[in-house]
Amino acid sequence: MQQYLEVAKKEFLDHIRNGWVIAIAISFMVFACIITLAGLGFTGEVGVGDNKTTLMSLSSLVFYLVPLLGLLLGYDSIAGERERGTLDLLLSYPISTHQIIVGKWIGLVCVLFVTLFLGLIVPTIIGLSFGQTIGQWFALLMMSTWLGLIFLTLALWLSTYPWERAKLLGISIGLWLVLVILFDVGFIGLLVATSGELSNTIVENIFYINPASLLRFLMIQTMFDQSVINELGLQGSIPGVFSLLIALLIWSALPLVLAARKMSRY
Amino acid sequence: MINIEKLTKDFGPFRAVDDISFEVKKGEVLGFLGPNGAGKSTTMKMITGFITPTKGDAKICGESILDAPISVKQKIGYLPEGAPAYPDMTPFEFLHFIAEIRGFTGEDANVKVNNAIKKVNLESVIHKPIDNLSKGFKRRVGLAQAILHDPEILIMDEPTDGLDPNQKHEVRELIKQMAKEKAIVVSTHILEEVHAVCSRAIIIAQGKILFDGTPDELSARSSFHNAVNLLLETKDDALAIEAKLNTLSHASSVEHAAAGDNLIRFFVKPKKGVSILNDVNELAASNHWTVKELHVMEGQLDEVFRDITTSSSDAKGVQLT
Repeated sequence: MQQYLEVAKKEFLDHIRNGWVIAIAISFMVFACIITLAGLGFTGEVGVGDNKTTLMSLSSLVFYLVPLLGLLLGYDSIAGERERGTLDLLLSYPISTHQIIVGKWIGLVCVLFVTLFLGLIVPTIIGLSFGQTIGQWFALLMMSTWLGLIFLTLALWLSTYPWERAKLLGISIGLWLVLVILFDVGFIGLLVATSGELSNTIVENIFYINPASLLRFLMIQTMFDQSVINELGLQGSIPGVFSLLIALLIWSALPLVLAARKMSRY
Repeated sequence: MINIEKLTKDFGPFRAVDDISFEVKKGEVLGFLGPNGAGKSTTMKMITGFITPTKGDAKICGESILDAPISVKQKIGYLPEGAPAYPDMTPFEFLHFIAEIRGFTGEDANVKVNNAIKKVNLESVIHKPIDNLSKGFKRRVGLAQAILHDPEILIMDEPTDGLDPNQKHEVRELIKQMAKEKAIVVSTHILEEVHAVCSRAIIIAQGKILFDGTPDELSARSSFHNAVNLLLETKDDALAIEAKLNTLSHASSVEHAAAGDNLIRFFVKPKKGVSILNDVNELAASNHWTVKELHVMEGQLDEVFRDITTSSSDAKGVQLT
């Protein structure tokens, strides 16, 4: 257990030491504050909107930015060690490859959580001072961390392949573009091409291939009431909460298992 | 302490290490020599247990790297090529991290770290980021992590590569100090390292062992072994002097080279197993030559290394059929 924690602690402190956490948390906080303070922007007024409006806007920010944060955090975790030569060192110590992978994963998840916590704390205080509830803000923090965790784990798995960091960065950004930006465009294109005649089952199954969509649906279903789902026209075509949880757990664990397997073959 | 048995490693169709076997005993410093790509680092990585051999095994203090890799790693200190470390950490933080990864905690970890810092004289830089340290200090940090747990076996990949002469001397002195209590393997392509620190040398090329013996035995394979190096100040014709030296009954051949104004250097090679120093000395005296230098050569390791490693057909490796 000590080895897991030591690797995790080192990974966490590395990101504190190199300023990653502070830089990203401040950037995220600035975006989140603007969104919170300009919550009524869509009505043509300036001011903090109601709970639902603010959280919907923030969840969009989370949906676009957090997967990228997760990928950027994880893509060089093993590749960086390999390029510095320190992977040779780590592998020469009495520590197993899964202790290295899991330890790094724990450390990076802590980095992600602290970054998002710091990034959301000021907007949360602003929101609370305008009468919003803390429960939903906490849920937003946890959902954001889970979303980032899934993409971080995907990047960690990719990082175990013997590719250069530049290539891995390109793959990570490509993955973000496909799953976060292009997936929705492609999905709408598919609906248009089929004149909206895809069955709900097919639509539901398409969503399973994208963890970002799954987590967005989980956010909508657990943080907002049925009216939001109806407003978005998603009633009947998105997976239920239980299915979403199972699918998201698989998306969270599978890349970690694959990464551990890949590392064990070094 | 180290027992390598028919170790083989294939990377796809490329055989990097080909059925090598050797032993290293306590108190021995083994120089592991070979041209770049010969299989030195791959062999080291297999001994340290983080590359799995395709065939064969390595036993460290009686334990197999295949059966007990974690236990084996506890007995080994390893300095990889270039002495990699985490650049943002200070040596103190880095060594503490290593100590804790190795399972030491609290006061035990502090003692291990402080001992390692003292052994390699790191006191003056322990709180500076490793990235800001000189190459020599970075190498010492690498050495400190390798010896932190006082291992029975030390494996060092190019420990002095890229260091200035003073830094090389320091590292070699440190290796010599530790040699009595440990079995040490030093991978290098710097031939002077052999005489400087090693009690035994292995030359590897194409993944195969081509020489295994003492540094003296290695030197003895040089055509310059026991040759006399004679530096004369003279205006005479070099070829005429060379002809006189060739008349010596125990001389097998003579070479010469200009060495400056009116200076000519002669290499008088003896017949095998014969000393020729007195003969050359007497000849020089009888001819009233002005002798600036006269000494017996140990042998040229460069020449032996070239002979051994290029006599095999292809230095790039063996394609499997």
